[in-house]
Amino acid sequence: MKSAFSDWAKERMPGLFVFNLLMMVLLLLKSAGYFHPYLPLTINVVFVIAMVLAVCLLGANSRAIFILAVLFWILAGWFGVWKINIWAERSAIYAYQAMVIGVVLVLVESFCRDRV
Amino acid sequence: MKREKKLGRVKKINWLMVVLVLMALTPVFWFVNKGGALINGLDTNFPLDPIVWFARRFYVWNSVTNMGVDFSSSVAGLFFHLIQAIPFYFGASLQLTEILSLVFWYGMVVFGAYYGVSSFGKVSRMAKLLFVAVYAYNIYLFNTWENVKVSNLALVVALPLFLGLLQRYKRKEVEIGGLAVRSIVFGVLAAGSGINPAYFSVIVLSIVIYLFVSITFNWGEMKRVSRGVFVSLVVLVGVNMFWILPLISFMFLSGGVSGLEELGFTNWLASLSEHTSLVNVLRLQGAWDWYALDEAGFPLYIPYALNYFYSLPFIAFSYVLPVLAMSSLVFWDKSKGVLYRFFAVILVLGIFMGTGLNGPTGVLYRLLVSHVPFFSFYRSPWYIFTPLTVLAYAGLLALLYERLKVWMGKELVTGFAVIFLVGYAFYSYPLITGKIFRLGRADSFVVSFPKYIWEAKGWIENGKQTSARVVTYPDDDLESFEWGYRGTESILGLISDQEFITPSFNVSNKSFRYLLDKFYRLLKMGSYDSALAILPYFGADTLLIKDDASSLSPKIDTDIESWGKLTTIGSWRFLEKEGKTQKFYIPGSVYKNLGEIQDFADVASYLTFPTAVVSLGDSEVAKAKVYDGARDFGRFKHINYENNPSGRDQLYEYDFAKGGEYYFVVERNGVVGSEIEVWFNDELVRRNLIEEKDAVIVIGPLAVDDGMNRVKLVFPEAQNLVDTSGFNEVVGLSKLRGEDLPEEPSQILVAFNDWEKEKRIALPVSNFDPFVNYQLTFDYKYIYGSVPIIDVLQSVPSTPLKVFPLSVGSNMDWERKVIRVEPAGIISNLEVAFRMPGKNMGGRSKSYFENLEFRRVFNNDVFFVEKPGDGRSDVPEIVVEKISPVKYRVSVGGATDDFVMVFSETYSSEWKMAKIDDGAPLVHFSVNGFANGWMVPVEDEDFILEVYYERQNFYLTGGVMSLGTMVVVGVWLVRKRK
Repeated sequence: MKSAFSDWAKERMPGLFVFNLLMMVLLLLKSAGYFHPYLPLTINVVFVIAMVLAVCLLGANSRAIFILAVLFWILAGWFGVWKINIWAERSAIYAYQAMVIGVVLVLVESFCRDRV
Repeated sequence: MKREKKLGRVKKINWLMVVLVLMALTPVFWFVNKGGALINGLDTNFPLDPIVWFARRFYVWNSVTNMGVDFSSSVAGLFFHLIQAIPFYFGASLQLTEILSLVFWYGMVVFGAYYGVSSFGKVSRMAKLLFVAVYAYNIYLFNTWENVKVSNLALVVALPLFLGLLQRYKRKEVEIGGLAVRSIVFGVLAAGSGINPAYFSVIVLSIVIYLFVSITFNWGEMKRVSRGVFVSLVVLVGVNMFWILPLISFMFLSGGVSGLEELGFTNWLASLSEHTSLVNVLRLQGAWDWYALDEAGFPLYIPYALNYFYSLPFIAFSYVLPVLAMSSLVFWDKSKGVLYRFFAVILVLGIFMGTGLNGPTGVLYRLLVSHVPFFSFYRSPWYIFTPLTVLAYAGLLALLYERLKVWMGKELVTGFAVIFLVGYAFYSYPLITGKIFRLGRADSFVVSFPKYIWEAKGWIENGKQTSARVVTYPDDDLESFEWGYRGTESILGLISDQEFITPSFNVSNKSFRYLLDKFYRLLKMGSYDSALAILPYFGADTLLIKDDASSLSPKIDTDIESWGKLTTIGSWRFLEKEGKTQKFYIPGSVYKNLGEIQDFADVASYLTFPTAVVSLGDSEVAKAKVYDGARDFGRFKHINYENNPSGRDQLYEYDFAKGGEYYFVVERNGVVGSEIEVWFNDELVRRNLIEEKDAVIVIGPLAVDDGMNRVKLVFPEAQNLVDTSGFNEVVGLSKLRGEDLPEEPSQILVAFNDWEKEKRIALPVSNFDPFVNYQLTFDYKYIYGSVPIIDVLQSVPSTPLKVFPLSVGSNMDWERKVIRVEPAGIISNLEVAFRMPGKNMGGRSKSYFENLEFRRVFNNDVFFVEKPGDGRSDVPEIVVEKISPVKYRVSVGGATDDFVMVFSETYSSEWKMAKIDDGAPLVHFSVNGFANGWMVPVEDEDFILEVYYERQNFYLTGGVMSLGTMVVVGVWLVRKRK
């Protein structure tokens, strides 16, 4: 498992580097309030960009994105059970964003691979 | 041997079918132990005469409700009401009729779901059961069934049917002919969605999405799938042309509709949708009424909602279905790619649309509303689009089961599925047990109608139904009875075809609304003569007083009964005016309104019927030369009211274009005529020219020159109605030293609080009249601490009615403050309340008030009405025959000169009048602000006029097209088989 993960990371080292770099830049820009009020760089926007970058740079497929959606939805459920509704709402938003990206990706994948 | 054979037959019984039949019978459980009660009320509107309601769907004009209303969107309910009409026609009781109707539609939901899932290819019975269970029992359907919403039901039935049909066609299990025939049947079932066309559009949208996900990824099937989609869409639309065509005419061809309100709907996109957050939409908990709570946090409408908010198993289970659906996308099965893609797309779309203006996609939704024409018609997106989400959940769950069965083994997955189903049944308990109908609560939908309702129904049917209208009282928009029924539709409309006038949330014509409000206000004030003088303008001759209504409006006493013939049935009093009133009349005089449209409502009771009022500047009226000989009326400008509303001298002026003799009509508003002085152009008007009526004071006739004329009314002194003498004693100033008190403590009220809690002191208003306006004035100075709040509160013993609050601010100089008070016209109490907040961070608070006065204002409007002549002496006789709600025939006899004919039905350019001989349409214009008028040229003494609502032609043409679609499909099939 460890070696598989290590191999995966080695294969995508440049992508991982750029991904992390961009994420750091985005979070720094967000914390400094850049582009506000013309384009508010919210954490939602950062999250969507992160998913798109994960697809482009790390080769994430639709299944990976859907797993992300499921995980965030389970997290929303966990917060919901503990009645931390604000966090449940936020997690649900991430789950939905992941689902949208996943559906778009699956359509693209279907178009590229399954087309008859 | 026989026994073994029997056992074998039993074994062969398909257990799934048994379960599905039981599901379809769910509505039967709702009526267990309910006696003869019906599920009725609010939006449910189960007709107490299903035949009458069914028959109404053959016309695009409904003359029954409030002066008539275009019914184009409601004819779509034809099939829905046919299902009610059939058993009732064959003698079934109303309760049995309702049960059969509900079972039919529940059966259709179950059958539709089964038909849909059976088209997935080879799927197990457990997968089918999962699909049907999720689709037929879910939180979205709680609201749909609670109100038996026709549009929602039709949409829910149609979605899986069309999916199943297209899937079967794609899989070559059905050929094109079969697809066309089935599309006819499914199209008929979907017809009810046209009541709100936004729902119908979702069916079309889902078919288009199916086309997209099928052909984009499999071009080999493009031709077949496109053909299937094309035929199904053509047949679906063709079958529904009977409502589509008149609706297109209503929305686009006659000036168009500018908003939902004109379709009779309320636009609550930004208000009631506030709880459709993503997490709630994903859990199917976006219905607004779940979140309406009282001050103690208890649900106002949905008692079981608390379980879903606070009970751990319910909260946990609410996340299970979405997680299973999302997981299904993880375990994607390529062989069923079309279905996965379809469900994935409608899931994302359903959630996006269902969330409406809420984040994070609300910005995009707002853009669509702003820039896409007619997108705003999706007034309550959660209700319209959530069926897509539900379909996606059901489909993805069934697919997940099939997928996991291969991976984990059938027994294990089936075990999980059974556990899920049991949990899901508990989770959906309000729908299964009928708790959605709010059993045991005052607002329950399970209603037992008292015997006298049926007696009244029989009385109306047995010849007492009047050709004129019945106006109902009290005047609540939501009709509510002590015995349980609450509805937006008047009960008169449920039991008969009697035309009636009743307050409604959906009255869109402002002039009619003003007049109706004025009528009820006069009635509640006890000005019966003036109120009842308005009735003929509504084409009404009867007042129905419902003494069993739950209302804050005052009861009508027996004094009114001398006005006409009284018939008492149970708690209902029908008061019928002697003589003949009808919806058509020829006015004796025509008035020209020089003011605003609402001015007619204020003088209607004074203008002796039959009168017609036309607006100034109406080109059609000018064309018809109606202005020739018309007299003027209008409103004086009240010039000093804003500066001195409670002052004795009130000044009015108007620049007259035409001199002559006029009457001045002053609104009484609680003023006694003998106590006022009237000055006209600085001359005192003689007392014998002032006549007091029950709602107005009439002055004149007075000779008026053209140009500016002035009226001064001198009213009696307005008394201060609030006693402030004991205020400082009640506040308690003992903790303040002498130097901390105002210099004149007897004149200044000290709002002082050193308590931890808020201190509230209320001063009652004496001699309060709810039909008079008031103002509270005082001088205010802030000293220190929290700022006090001054409320003028109107209340009845059980509940507050209206609050007029004022936050006085923290100005440390003396400042004049004013609160204008327009009370609700309900017998009640009024008080001026001082609220002094509790200690803030340990500090006290103190403010000063001086010159506090509460006096009535003199906002009495003054109107001028040109003195009428002798009126027409040659008014022709008319005899009216109602052929249908869209067609009338009027026989005119003894006409000698051109005349105006008024038809007291809501104005629409679609109403056409013509002489039956030549058929040429007469010049048509609006009368009284809401009715129809025509100028009738006279060539012969006797002739017949025909009035027709022309949009009915669209309905007839659409009906022919609907039938034609069925015939064409039939002929095509027959020829194909040959």
